[in-house]
Amino acid sequence: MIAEILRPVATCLILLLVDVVISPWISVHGWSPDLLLIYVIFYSAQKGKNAGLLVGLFAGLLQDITGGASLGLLALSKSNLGFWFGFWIEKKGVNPSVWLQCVVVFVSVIVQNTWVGLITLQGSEIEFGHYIFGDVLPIAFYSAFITFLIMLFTGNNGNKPKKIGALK
Amino acid sequence: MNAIRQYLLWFITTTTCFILILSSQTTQGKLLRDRLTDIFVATAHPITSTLKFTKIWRENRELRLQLAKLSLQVAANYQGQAELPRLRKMLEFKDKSAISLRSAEVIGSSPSSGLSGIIVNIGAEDNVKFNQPVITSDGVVGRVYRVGETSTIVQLLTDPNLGVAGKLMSSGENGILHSAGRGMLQLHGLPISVKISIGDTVVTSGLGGTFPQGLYLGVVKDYFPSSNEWLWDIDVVPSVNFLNIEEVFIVQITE
Repeated sequence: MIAEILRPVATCLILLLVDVVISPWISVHGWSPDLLLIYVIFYSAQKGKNAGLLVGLFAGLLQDITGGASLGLLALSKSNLGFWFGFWIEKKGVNPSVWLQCVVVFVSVIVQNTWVGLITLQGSEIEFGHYIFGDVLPIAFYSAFITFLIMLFTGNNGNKPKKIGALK
Repeated sequence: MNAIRQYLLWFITTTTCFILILSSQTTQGKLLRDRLTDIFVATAHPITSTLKFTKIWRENRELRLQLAKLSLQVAANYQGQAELPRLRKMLEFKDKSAISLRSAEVIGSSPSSGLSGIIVNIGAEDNVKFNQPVITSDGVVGRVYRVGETSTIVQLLTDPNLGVAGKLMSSGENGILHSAGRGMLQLHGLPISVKISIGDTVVTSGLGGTFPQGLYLGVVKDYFPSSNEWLWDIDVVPSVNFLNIEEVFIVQITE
């Protein structure tokens, strides 16, 4: 049980480190993939909604703490994305295929950044349309592409959703 | 009952997040975040340094050559420098402030999508304070946004919530520069009567008190009348390449 908890915690910490240190090297025109969000979606697809909720909360809090935006902003979006994707997978009972996870990551990045943009762009002169088309969509495409690569190299073609006993 | 239990965890988590958002600007909250950022930067620093090592070695060779060239230039400037105090005295010019620079290494970019920022490896221990200007040899990078003991988050000029008082070097007309998205900047507030040319340099005006006067911000790329037709909207290409910043200088002004 401890391993079940420690594994996602350690993964989130490593991914955050990678995100901060490696992102400038892999960013294209300033756009870099949201690795933690990709992981939340993976985890939620494999372990169910409550596990997705908690991992999303932890990953989001990590980003909020080490980043500059308001505390709780990314925690709220990531936890909800993890929960509702896990909920949908559990309800439908579908195997999340490579394509489905790519699409979900794509949509999740858009939802998360639209939410963050609605808060942080208040009072700024940047047009919301410019923000969506100039920043959010390219990041969503890039994140979905990275998801595809990860799944291709890890041979992860989707697992049946199963809940962890501790997090039921 | 089971349905309620199913959503209870979601409800608690979401409510907690909303409470965090509403209370995130408290002093204790900020202090806790700063300390945690310090710990995180201490972990990330060795990795960043290792990655940068080869590049630094190459750069070091180039810098030695540049240093030799600059030494010659300094020698030529020395005479003029020696004359400066005498000329200042003649003009009764009073030194109001002393500016010093603190170099800082960039650890990485801010992981939050809510802020365009970078994390650097010095903090309050090195007398870094909120709002201090951050520059490179190319121009203004941004300002100090959050300060930990040994780390600092710098808000970049490209962040939508940062505005800088700027002016056109050619005409001296003042305006406000802020992000226009996609890595571009825009200068607002210049009356339509002002003559502008593409390629004009934009520098800090010193108004507002945060940035000293004369720091490079960028060059004019395009200009067009704003919606009210009384003012110009001027597209500015930043002088700093924000995608490739490895070292910055924090400007410390002592009155």
